[in-house]
Amino acid sequence: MRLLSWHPSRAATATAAVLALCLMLPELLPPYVTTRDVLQPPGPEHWLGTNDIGQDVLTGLLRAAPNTVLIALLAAAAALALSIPFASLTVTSPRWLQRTLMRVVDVLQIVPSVLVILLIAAWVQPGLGGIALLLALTIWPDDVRVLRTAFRREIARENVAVARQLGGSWTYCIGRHVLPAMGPVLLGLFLQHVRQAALKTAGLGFLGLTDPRLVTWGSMMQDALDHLHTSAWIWLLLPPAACLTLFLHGVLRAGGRLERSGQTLTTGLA
Amino acid sequence: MSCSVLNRISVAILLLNSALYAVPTRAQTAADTRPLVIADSRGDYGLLAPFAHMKNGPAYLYTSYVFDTLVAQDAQGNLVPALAKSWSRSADGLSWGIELDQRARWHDGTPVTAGDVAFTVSYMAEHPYVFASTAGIAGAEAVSATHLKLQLKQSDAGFVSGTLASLPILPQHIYGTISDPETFTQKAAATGSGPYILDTQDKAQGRYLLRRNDAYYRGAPKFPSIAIVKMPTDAAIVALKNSEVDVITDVPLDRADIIRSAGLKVVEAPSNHPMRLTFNHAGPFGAKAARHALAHAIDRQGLVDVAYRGAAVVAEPGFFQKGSPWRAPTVLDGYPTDIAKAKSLLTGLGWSQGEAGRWSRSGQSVTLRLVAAPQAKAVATALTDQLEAFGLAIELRLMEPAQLQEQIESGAYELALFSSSTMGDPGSLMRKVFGPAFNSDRFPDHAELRNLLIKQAVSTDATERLRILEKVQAIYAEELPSLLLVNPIWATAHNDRVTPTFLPDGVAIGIPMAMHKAVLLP
Amino acid sequence: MTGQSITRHMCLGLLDRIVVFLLLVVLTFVLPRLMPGDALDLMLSSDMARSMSRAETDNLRQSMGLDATISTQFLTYVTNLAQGDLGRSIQHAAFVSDLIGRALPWTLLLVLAALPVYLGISVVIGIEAGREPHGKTDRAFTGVMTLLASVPPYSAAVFLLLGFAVLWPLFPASGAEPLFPSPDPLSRSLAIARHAVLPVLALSLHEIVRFYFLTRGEAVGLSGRPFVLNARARGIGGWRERVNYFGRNLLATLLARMTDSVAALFGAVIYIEIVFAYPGIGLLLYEAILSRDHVLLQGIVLTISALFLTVNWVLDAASANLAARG
Repeated sequence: MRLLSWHPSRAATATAAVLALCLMLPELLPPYVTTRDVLQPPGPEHWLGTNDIGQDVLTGLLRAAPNTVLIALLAAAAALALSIPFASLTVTSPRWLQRTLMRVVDVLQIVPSVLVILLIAAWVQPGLGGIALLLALTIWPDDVRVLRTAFRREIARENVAVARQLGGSWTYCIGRHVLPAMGPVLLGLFLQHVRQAALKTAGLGFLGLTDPRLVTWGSMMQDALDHLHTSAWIWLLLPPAACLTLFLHGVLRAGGRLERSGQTLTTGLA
Repeated sequence: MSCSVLNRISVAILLLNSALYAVPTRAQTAADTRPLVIADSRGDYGLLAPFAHMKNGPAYLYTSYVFDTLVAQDAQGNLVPALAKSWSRSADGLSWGIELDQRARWHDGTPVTAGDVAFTVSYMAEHPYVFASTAGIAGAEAVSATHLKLQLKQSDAGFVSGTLASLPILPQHIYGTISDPETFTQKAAATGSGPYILDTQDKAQGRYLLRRNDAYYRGAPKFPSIAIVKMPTDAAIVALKNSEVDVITDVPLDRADIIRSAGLKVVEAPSNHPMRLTFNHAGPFGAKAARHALAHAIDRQGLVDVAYRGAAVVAEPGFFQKGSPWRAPTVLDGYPTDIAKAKSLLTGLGWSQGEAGRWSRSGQSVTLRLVAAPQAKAVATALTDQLEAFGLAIELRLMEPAQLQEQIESGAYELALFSSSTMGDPGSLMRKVFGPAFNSDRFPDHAELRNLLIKQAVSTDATERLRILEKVQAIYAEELPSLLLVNPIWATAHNDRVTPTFLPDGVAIGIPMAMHKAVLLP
Repeated sequence: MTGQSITRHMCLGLLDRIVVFLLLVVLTFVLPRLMPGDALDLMLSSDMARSMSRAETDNLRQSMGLDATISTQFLTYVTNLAQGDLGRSIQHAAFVSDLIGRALPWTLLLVLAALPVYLGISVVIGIEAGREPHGKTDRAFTGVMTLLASVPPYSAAVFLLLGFAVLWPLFPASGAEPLFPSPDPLSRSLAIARHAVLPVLALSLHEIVRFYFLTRGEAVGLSGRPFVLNARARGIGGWRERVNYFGRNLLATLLARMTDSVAALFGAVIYIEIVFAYPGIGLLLYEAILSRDHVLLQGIVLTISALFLTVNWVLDAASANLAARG
């Protein structure tokens, strides 16, 4: 199915739409409140049953969706917002600075980010914004090399050279000529980050290291762990696990489609 | 093709399985000599020695298997002689004479002497021990090897149940040279005078093996050895059914039926560690009527049903809970849920309810900050929902103890939710009500209550003390320094080898666990 | 790369890793101290603890070394680290190095057992799929793998636990050994193996996907190359084709990707040990987080990082060497 072609502008519109939906959805949903109907199996009253404090699982799933998706989008965007200026500096700055910056990237790339995330999350129990920032900070160094290669290729093009000769500043050239041409690469990286960030957010939720008030698919799965030995896992564990997998799969497919259409150099998967 | 491969794999697995099951486990071969296995969902409790164990109730309890106190509790919770064969008090209540049991020996064979007790008192003055204080003791003197005289700074009604029954006695010949007991973690540190001797400890697996102290002065303990093992609850239930485990110290009450239907037993009792809602008395809840309003607005049975799925009872407002030996027989009015009354109380204070039912106070809409520890998430969420439904906007914040402490000390909260002990000698009530600690009520001065609390703590007459405590409870229930919400029920599962019991006032310092030391003794 | 440049590469790599390690040392020192409360507050936060007087807490704080200035504390911390002393965990009443020493072998057992499992499976099916791109086998394998790629390691672990330890109790649900290990070494090892099956499987699943796509991608490239086409025309097929023509040429790529894989394994093993209550270093780390045991947390983070950085450096050097030889 190739209903959509993945132009960056379309992707941006889609992202904006998702964001708007994320912000509006909680207002439209019924409140996620505790009731006396604890651990009810799915039925006409509660389509996906209730959890151990009587909260409706379906409402929880729908409320967790914007959190998980929003964090992933925010983290991905923030990571690019950090890596793009950095990568452009590594191309346009004087040689000695370029070398220094690349050493910095080398160093940052080998930081065991899982541990750093765990360590920080353990102390601050981040909320929505905090998780996004934390993930962005650990993701961006991996982008720099890819972006640098792409920058080099684009800068070598004629239109940039002409613009430079006509006295255009680097900021102008990059904003006007280079970045637009790099759309597919950026989109590829973006999707990859969304996936990674969603995976890690759910992981933190699963470990119970996020703000306990933040409902995510990961934290719902954690809550379900106490009920593996009764039949309640069917409606407590399966729905959030399925949602997470479906979301990850969707992003993966989008990335794969992008790749097959030959628009990017990055690999979405491995 | 793939089908046959699968078949072959499953056959191989089956073979492997039967091969493994064919190996006789130790448990099956020698049922009589096998250790009493106590499964616990928590892990490592540190070294079972007073300064090296973790600072929590179970760690204290397991350490008491190794270290004896002067006075012990029997299976009903009555105070009985242990290292002290007898004790007597002077008329003014200031000096105590203690006669030691001369049969008592340390695990290395050295006799336990009055010198050891005197040493423990002075050693603990220098190296404070978290669970027992010797601060009230002015001096300890070993008159002879078995006779000890203690001098108190002031009369202490709870001296026997609060200090003598909870202070582990240390061997002078081992601790005498130790200047830093927190870092003394060699095995010698666990040389006690208790019924069991620490054999091995495997930290990675969270497992302790203790062997019987055959020379124990109160008679040989029942079980040749004890294993305390860390196991997730559900795995432990399976193991209990297979007779690999004898006791599960903490089972969720909703598993009780499954366990009972397998022919095993479950003992349960209210923990008397109720969930307590404390107030920032400097805020809107400084007014008693506001506290009463909140008490009427909360449906405590609802909290039991939602957050505990029935595994709790509604708590009583007079601090002491049902079963406590200190509780007054009069039944106190428990603030039944009464929304109309709650509303009129708040209105009387000048609060008003705007559109959509939101409360505001002197024209400002009210948002209450409720802080709680993450462990209290379920009950805090249910409480938030109830108060929101009543029209109070709640900002729930769950935070770790250290953060919670800072938040409360800075005063940036209106309500806080804790689990807290109402067990143990009431000598500690003063600090629990008026103390500055973040988990005390932080109640502003109340002359009558303060005087009563001081009086009961030094009273030398047991009946008089109970009478004072009865008044204390009436005032507590009326003033609501804090509101006790629900009292969770704790349960312990076991088989026929052992009969754990919950003690009415908890173990020693008020630990609500059924595997106390008397269970192991003849 | 010439020999000289490889040496340079390795030296620089080592330098980078030392810098990272030092950064982590600073981070592990600073973070816990930025948060409210110290180890003593935490110790006394138990509800049953009596209230201590100021003099008593000062006394304890001093004996725990918490009263020193930040700079003195840092100096002590670094000096001790340099001597290999990771400090003592107050909660466990044990030396951190001791605790780690007991837990690490179990984690290494899982990781080392998973390594051949996922490499073996992914390379075999990767080559099988990549030999004939877009063939039946390829489509089937790739479909399954794409789906698996979206199953996070913690989901996989939970479902394996549910499936093969709870619903169909084929394997033990938790722990690394039975309650009372058999004294006979053979049956004891068998029991350990039985306990390790599900965790190893869960750990492997995640990496199988990564290496499958890598192998398949390379194999697709190779299957169009003249020497493979030639060999096929000469009737070379079966194992010879797969091992000599595909397998050998994959080595360098696989080795290069092992660096990422090691990092991912360290990440995944934490979840898996938690789900299976496996007494390795991941569970120890998690428990240190839950009980706010920051000395232990520091020790574990630094140990895992040191281990990870070393492995990472060795793999990096090895793949640089291999690349230089061509």
